[in-house]
Amino acid sequence: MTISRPENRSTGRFRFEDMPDPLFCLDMANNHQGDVEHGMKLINAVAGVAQRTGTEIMVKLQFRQLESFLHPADRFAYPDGPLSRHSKRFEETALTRDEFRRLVGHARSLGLHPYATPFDEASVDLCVAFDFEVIKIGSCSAYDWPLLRKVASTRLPVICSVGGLALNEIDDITDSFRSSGCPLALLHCIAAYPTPVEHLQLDQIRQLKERYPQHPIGYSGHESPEDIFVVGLAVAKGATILERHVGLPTETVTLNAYSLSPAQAEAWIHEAQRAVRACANGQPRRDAPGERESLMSLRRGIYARHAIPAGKTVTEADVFLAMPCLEGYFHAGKLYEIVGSFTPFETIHVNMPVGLSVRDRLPKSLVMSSIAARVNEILVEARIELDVNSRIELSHHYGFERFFEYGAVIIEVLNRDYCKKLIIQFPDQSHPAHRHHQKEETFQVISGRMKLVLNGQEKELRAGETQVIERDVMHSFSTDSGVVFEEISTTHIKGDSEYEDPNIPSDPTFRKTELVLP
Amino acid sequence: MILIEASTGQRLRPIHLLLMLYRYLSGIYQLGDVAALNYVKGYVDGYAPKAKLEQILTVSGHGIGEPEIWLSDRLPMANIDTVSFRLMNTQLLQFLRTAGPGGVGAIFAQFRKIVASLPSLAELVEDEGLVPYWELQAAEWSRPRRSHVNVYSDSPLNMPGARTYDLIYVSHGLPYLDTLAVSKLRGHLHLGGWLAVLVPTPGDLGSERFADSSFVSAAKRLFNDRLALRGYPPVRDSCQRIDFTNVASKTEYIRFSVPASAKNVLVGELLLYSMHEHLSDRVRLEVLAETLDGIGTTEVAVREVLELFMVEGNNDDQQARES
Repeated sequence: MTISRPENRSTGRFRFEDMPDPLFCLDMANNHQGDVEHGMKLINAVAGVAQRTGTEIMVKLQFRQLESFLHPADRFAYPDGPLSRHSKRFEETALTRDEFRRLVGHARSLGLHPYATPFDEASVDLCVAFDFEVIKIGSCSAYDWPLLRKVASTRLPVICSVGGLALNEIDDITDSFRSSGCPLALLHCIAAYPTPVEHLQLDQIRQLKERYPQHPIGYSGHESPEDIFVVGLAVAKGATILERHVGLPTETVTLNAYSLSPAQAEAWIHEAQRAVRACANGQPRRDAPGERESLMSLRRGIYARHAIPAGKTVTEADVFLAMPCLEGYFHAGKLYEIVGSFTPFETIHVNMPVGLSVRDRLPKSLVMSSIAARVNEILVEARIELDVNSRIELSHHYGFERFFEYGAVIIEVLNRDYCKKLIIQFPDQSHPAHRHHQKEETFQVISGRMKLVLNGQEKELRAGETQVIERDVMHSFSTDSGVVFEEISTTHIKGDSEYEDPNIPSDPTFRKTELVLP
Repeated sequence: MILIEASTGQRLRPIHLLLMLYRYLSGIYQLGDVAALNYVKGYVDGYAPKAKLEQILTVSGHGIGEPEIWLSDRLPMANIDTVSFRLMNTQLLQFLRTAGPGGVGAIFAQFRKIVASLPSLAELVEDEGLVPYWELQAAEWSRPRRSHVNVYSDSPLNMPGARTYDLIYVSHGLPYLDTLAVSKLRGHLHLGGWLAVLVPTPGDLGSERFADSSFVSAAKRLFNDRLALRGYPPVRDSCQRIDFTNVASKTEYIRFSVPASAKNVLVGELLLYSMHEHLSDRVRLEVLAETLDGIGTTEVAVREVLELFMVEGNNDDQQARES
C-alpha cells in the first residue's frame, strides 16, 4: 500500500498529489551503526512515533556501494590517512544487501514506508530491487548527472535536496526531470551539520515554491534538535515535505548534533502538526470559533435616535452609532447603504437596533433603555414633571419578554394613607384582569385612550374622563393608541392584587422590574 | 466599497446599476411576471369569484417593480406590500420611487466614470436607451396610483405575524427561496388566500432554458476562472428545488421566447451571476469586463421556462401563525 492521504488511499504507485500534508521523512542514514539489530530497534522506535502521532512516516536509508563509491586510496588504507574524512564512518557502518533487506522488510511490516538515498548507480539498482516508492537525492549528489540520469531511468518520483546549489543548477535539475517525465520534489536544505538558526534561510522555501509551482517543496533540516520551532516556520513558509535525521541513543551510541532521538522526532512531528493547524496553508479564511461574536461586541451598531415609524425610510438623522453591534443587526459600516433606502415593517423604537433581524430576544438592558427613552418622550410630550422620589417600575405579568403585550409602566408618586400613581401603557398593551381586596382606586386619563373592562362590562375612557374602581371589582384595561392615566387610590398595599389568571405570579417581585429614566 | 451618491439621499453601489443594466438588456423577468400574474388573477377570479384581493404581498427578486406595477394598475384599491430577500432589490425600488427628474441620469453619469477604464462595461453603459428607459420607470413610480404600494426592507422571513394577505406573489429565484421561507410565507395568508410562487424550472426539466445553455455555462466558468485569479472562491449556483407537490393546488409551466438578442440576454445572465455579496465592487467590475471581453457572440433563440405554483391558504396556516 503506497503512502497517501487517507482520502486518496490507493494500491497504485506513490504520487506527490496524494501524499499526506506534510509528508514526514526520517532519515536513518548511518545511525544503524552498521548493526542490523540496532537498526531494527531504531525502526521499532520510529514505528512507535508513527503510531503515537497518527502519521505515516517514510523512513530513509543511505546506500553506497563502497567498493566502487570510495576512491581506491580510501579502500586500501594507504598511509597518511584517508582521502575522505567520511570513509572511515562509511566503512564502519556498512551493511550488506541482506542486512538492508531485513531492515526494509521490518520497516514495512510495521507500517513504515522505507526508501533510500543512493549515492551511486549500483545503489539506484538496489532501490529498484527493494521496490521503493520514491528515490531521494542528497544535496551532494544533486548535480551528479550520471547519477541523476540513472535515477531518472527508474521513472520513480524523486525527492531532491538542493542544499548548496545555485539557481541555475536547480533550474537544470527541474528541466531535466521534467523532460524525463519523473515527478520531482525539491527540499530546501542547508548542508551545514548542524545548521545554526541564523543560517537556515527558510524563506528559500517560499522562493522555491514561487519559482517552481509545479513541484512540491519541502525542507530537510539539520538544525539542532533543541531548535524545534524551526519546523513550524518551515510549515509556515509552505514546506509540504519535512525531513530530519533520526537515531537511537544508547549507553554506547551517541547521536550527532543534527539527529533526533525518537522522543525528539515525536516532539518534532507534533510541532509540525501544530504548525499545519495554525497556518492552514492554502485554505480560504474562515471565522475562528467565537470570532464573529467577539468582533460584533466591539463594533458599533446602528440604533434609532427616536422612534422610526413603520413605513418610514430611515435617514441619517434618525439613527446613531453605538457599541455593541448585535448579531443580526446592521453594523456601522452599513450606514451609507441603508440611509435613504431602509424602510421597516414595524416601528423601530428609540434606542432599538436597526436591521433585518427578528426584533425579539434582544438584551433586556437594551429594551429597558428603549422603554426608558420612550417613557421620557411621553412625559415630555404630556408636560409631566416627575418628583425625584418617584419610583418607576415595569409591570410584566407574563414575563419581561411579553411586556409589550401584557404590562404597564407604573410611576409611584407617593403612597401614604392615599396613593397616587401615573400609569403609562404603550400601544397594544394590555393589563390582565385583577382585583384589589383593600384598595379603592380612581383612574383619570391624561392623554390617549384606554379600554376598561369592569366585571365584564367594557368602557372606553378618553382624556379627562374618570372611573372609580371599587374594592373586589375585577377589572382589566388595554389601549390601542397608548395611554397615560393617573391612579388615585387608598393606600397601596403590596400583595393586595389578585389576578384572574392563576398563571400570573402573586408575588409582585416576579412580575416587576425597576426602571431608571435617563 | 464604491458608493454612488443619488439625489434621493441614498448611496447606491455598482451592483444596483448592474441590476438596472441587466433589466434593460434582458426582458425575461418582465415576460415571466406578466404571464404569471395574468394566470394568477385569472385563476383566483375563476376559483373564487367573490374573493377580494385587497391585501397583497409581493416577494420580488431582481425583477422588483414589475409585478408591483402590474398589480397596482389592475387592482387600484389593493394595498400592496413589497419585500425581497435581498436588500439591494428593495433599495433599487426605493430609489426609483424617489429619483425625481435627473436622478437616474446623475447616477449613471457617476457610473460611467467608474467604468471608464473597462471598455466592455463602458460600452454597455453608453447605450443611448439606458437612461431614458429608467427615467420612464422612475416616472411610472411617481404616479399617485403607486402610493398604495409599500416597500419594506425587512426580510420576508421577519414580517410581523399579524400581517395577513389575500395574495402573496413570490417571484424570487433560488437559493433564497427554500421550504422554510415558503412555510413562513404561508403563515401570512388569510384563510382562502393564495400563495403564488414563480420559479425557474430546474435544469433537468428545463433544458430548453437559455439560462441553462452551454453559452451561459461557458460564460460563468470564464467568470469564475477570472475570479480565481484574484483569489476569490467561485460563485456557486444553487440547485435546490422546492417540492410543492403536496401543497400546490395547481402547477403551470410558462414557456416563452424572449425577444431580446441572445447576446444581450447572455450579458444579462452574466451580470446577474456577478451580483454575489462576497465580491468587492472593484473586482466584480473588472472580472465582469474581462469576461465580457472573452465571450463570443451567438445567435440562437432565447427561451425561458418557469414554473408557477398556486398554494391555497388553509386552517393549518392560520394556526401556525397564531401559535
